Amino acid sequence: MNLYQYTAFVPHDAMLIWNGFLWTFGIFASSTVLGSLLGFLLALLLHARVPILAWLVAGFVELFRNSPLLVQLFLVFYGLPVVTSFSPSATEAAILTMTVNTAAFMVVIVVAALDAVPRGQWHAAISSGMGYPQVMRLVVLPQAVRTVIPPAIVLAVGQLQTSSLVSIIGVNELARAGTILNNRTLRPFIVWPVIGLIYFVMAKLLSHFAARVERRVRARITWFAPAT
Amino acid sequence: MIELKAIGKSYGTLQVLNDISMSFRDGEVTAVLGPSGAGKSTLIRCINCLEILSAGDILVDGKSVRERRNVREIRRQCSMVFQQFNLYPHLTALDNIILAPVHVLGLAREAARQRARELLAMVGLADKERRYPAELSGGEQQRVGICRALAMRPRHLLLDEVTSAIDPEMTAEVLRVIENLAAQGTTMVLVTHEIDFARRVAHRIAFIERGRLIKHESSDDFFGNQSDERILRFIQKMKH
Amino acid sequence: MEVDFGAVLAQRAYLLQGLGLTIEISLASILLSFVLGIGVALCRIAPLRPLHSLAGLYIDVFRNTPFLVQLFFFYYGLPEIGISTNPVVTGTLALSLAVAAGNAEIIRAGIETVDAGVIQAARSFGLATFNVYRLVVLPIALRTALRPLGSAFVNLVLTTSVLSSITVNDLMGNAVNIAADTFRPFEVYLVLLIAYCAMTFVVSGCVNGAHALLYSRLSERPQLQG
Repeated sequence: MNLYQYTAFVPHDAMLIWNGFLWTFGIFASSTVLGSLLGFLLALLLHARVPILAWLVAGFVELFRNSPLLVQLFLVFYGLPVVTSFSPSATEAAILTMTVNTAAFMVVIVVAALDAVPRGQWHAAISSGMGYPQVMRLVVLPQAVRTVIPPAIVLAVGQLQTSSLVSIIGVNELARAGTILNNRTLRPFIVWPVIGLIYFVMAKLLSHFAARVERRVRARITWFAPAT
Repeated sequence: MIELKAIGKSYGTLQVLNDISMSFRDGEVTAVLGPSGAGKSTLIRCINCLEILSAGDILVDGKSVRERRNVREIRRQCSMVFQQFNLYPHLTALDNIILAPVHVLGLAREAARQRARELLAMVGLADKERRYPAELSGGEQQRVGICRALAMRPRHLLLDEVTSAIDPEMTAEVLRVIENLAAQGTTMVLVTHEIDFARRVAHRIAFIERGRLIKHESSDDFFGNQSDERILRFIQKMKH
Repeated sequence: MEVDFGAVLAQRAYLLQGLGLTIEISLASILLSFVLGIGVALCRIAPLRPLHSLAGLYIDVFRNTPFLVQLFFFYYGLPEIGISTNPVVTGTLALSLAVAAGNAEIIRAGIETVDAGVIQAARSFGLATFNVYRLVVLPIALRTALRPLGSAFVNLVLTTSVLSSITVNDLMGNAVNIAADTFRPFEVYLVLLIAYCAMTFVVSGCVNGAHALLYSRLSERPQLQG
């Protein structure tokens, strides 16, 4: 048996990496979109000071912002099946956990953006008789959008990197492809830089794309007074 | 003595100083007057090398500002007090004053503190030595700034519009300190808007307009015997 | 199966052992990444092009690649070039390098907010550039950077959990073993969730305390006539 045959790189490895990339992108994209939506809704609950629910949200946010994603992942993937009837697959657990994790960080960002809108705006809108939902929809949220985007981009890029942790529970994404290749070929100086480079390019593309979106948003909001 | 030899300073196409020559003699107090944007601040900042000349040269006690090796020595001999105070926000008043003496002159800390306390007492801030700049009023901060400059025992004192950023009620206390220094024979170059003060305190007046030296004469001649129309109008305007 | 913390509590000594290692690694990494961060930040603002570019490249690479990939690179790669160390050291190093990149940006931002006038004043008295940075720029910049740095350090503590994937017996590593032994992963990881929250609470508390200490008299307060 020629061991060297097993440890060399083969053309199929490109497929492995490509697959991994697709899965990473899929998991990242879905969890980020879902997490942002969830985070936004939870932020509204918190901001509106809905009794009981607001406290729950606050507690949830603190818990998930101040604990490692890895622990959250293990809790969902290994822990839940034991005490509940919920047994997610690795991928499901990955998307679920990342969604919740992203949401927790989004809550903080959205609340900060809402608070950045001057109090006077609320006063003006409310004194003309508008209710909370209207004030939010017509006055506050349009102004808050601008403040939300930059930190949200930073969060997204961070979550892209963090998504690599789901490889530890066996999801066949990019980092896992790296692990497989590394264990087989024993060439860490080739495998990890290549994997890292792909993540790097993904992150850069994400940043640039997001920056362009931000510029478009800014261009449309021409009435905004410069924030101090 | 500080000699300015045909100095010029431009930022790109903007000519801020144009062919200015004059001298500041030792023991003399010179007030540099002129309309805003005339280049007065730039002029004194060229003296202690905070700005680099585009043309000409300045000799501070014979040393050219154009030679890099002179910069440290020139800065030891010329101390500056700034319009925006520029005190070190993270240090107490006392520490603000002793920073340069300890780290540039190599003074022992205790000796530097002694001198700093004397200076603070002189400007009437003896009880504020442990305060941070944020806890002091504008007038107090500027007085600390003056102490900081004096602690270096400079030969020449450069004052850049030191009362412009202070509320009117507090300028008096700063001007009083400067007046005392003038009486003691310190060489001073004073960029200011306070016309009356300049008249009282300065020996000579340098009038700068649009980067050019228009007049450089004794205070008596400038205020008492002025023939130039523009300058007379300027003096009138500044009095209000 | 119902929830039962008994089995986990029985292993608390083992957990505390892991906690101890986590704390050690965290402290070491905080210190290392702080010092390295200052160094790289200074390189970033240095007038020398090569330093400037190199620092920029380092920051860019370490901030745009996953920590896990960096960690595996060092863990599997270092032995290949003859450097064999234990996982704890490798992990601490990798962590410090990763966090330092973020710190460098934070500190650089802090340096850039230092009032140019204050720096000019220091220069105008003849202070050597080295001293201007040591005595004026950095003390002010680090005060500004304190809160963001605190945030980065909280993140650091949380990231130590990733070291468990290279066989480090920290809190997470030991927890994984306990979960395997007791078949009670839910309880174990729930306890961990709370334990990490507690740790970050302590770190945040320290940062707030330091902030209060350093800023108690430096911030603008309404002035009484003086």
